[in-house]
Amino acid sequence: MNTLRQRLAPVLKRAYSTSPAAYPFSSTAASIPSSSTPTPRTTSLLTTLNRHLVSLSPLSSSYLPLFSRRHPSRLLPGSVLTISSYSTPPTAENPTPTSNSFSGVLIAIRRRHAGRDTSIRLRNTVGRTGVEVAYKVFSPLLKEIKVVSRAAWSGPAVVGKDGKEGVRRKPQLQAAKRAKLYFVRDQPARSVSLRLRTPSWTGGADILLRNTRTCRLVSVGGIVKQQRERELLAETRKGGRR
Amino acid sequence: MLGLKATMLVIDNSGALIAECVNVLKTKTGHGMARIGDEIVVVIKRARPISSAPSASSASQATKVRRGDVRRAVVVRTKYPTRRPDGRYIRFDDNAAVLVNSKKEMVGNRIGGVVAAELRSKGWGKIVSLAPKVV
Repeated sequence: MNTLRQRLAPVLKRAYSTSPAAYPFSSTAASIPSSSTPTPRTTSLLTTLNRHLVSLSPLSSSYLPLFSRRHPSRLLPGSVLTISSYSTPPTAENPTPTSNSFSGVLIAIRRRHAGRDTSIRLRNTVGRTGVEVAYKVFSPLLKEIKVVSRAAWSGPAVVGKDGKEGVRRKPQLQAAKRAKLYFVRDQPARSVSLRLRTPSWTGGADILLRNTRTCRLVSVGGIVKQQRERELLAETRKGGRR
Repeated sequence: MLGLKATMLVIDNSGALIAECVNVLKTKTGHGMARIGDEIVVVIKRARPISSAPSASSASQATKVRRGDVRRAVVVRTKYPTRRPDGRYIRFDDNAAVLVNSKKEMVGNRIGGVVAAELRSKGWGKIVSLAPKVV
């Protein structure tokens, strides 16, 4: 039986080759540009194509594990992210146009088509209004995804002096027990993920949360600000050591 | 997507609090619903009480709007998601509008809340410049 795959085999073979005239049916048609790391071919033609399209995005290698379904270091809903995106597409003449950023809690990850149509929803309260923005992860207009605070199920391990591992600490940002946090629209108090407990190692950096023992409900803005202050402190410490 | 009978907050200092849409002006779309940046005709459903004392009319306020007034407004926030050209979708938690006169001038002179950046491209630069935060 002459399957579609068998019929297109010469086309596919030539598409991944370096020869200029790859398309046999037309001399004016352009061939698929071969990437430096050729996309692994799967049984499905469309899956191969989708994976190839994803790999065209410059930061795809770092975003794919972040938003995959089962990767050990994937982002869990409840994490706080800051996304900066360009207002106009970057071109050869203007590779970095003006960008604006938005921080928020990750309330949903939508994955379709072998990762190509991955979109994430961030929610934040601006002024007194809740704002939700859905970003296309592999869009060329997306400049940077910065993980401000990663939500986790369990915090850092507590290792005693004798090397024995004790009960794990609670995580700094508790991951949500759901994949989609749409309930947060009606219960805003449960959004920023819920409770933020400061582990004692942050020391003097938690300017906003003084009492390290009790839980406090913190806003996204507070988490972003706290992370920035932590980074600044780390930088000044580095500068002092030099 | 605000059509007939849609209620929205009024976020300027004209005195109105809640407005109800009565008519959507010159939308080219077939559904006849107002999106962000569209002009609509509203009825003021709730307004701040107007005190008759002369000290109330301070330098910050020119016109005071009453309940039952029929005015024009510009939609600045919708709960219905708007699409940005790069594929982003932005959705607010409520619907909001800013009162405007027939000459497209604002009735109030201050805006108290977030507005969507679509207004700039639709020609409401004055609103965008007065807004404390634009998303």
